Amino acid sequence: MEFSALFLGIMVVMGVAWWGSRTLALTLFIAVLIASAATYVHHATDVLKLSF
Amino acid sequence: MTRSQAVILNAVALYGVALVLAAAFAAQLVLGELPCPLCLLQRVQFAMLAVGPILNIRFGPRPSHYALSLLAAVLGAG
Repeated sequence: MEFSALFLGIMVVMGVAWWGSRTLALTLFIAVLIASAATYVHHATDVLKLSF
Repeated sequence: MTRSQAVILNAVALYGVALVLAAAFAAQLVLGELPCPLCLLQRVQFAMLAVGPILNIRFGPRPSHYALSLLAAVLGAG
């Protein structure tokens, strides 16, 4: 769920960077970056199911 | 380096990022290689790498735009 939101967020950032204002693109980029770091910290200690 | 050369190189970088993401999604959808949560996050960071070149093409090359790509790259490497 959170990964879908991150992908949508970065799509919005790319769209704003291409068609919108520079300041808004920078602001949204920083927001998505912080959300990505938070998601990374949340999943950092997940157990990985390995096949061997 | 002229502005047009910089814009062309940034466009090539955008194509490179798109190619890498296309390969990753092709491996997932065609070959059935499902990514782990951190691999998914790495794809998000790769997409965020593209914002710097997009801003360079739209507003002209600036060090701050390259810094955005560096930030995304550092987070993606982590």
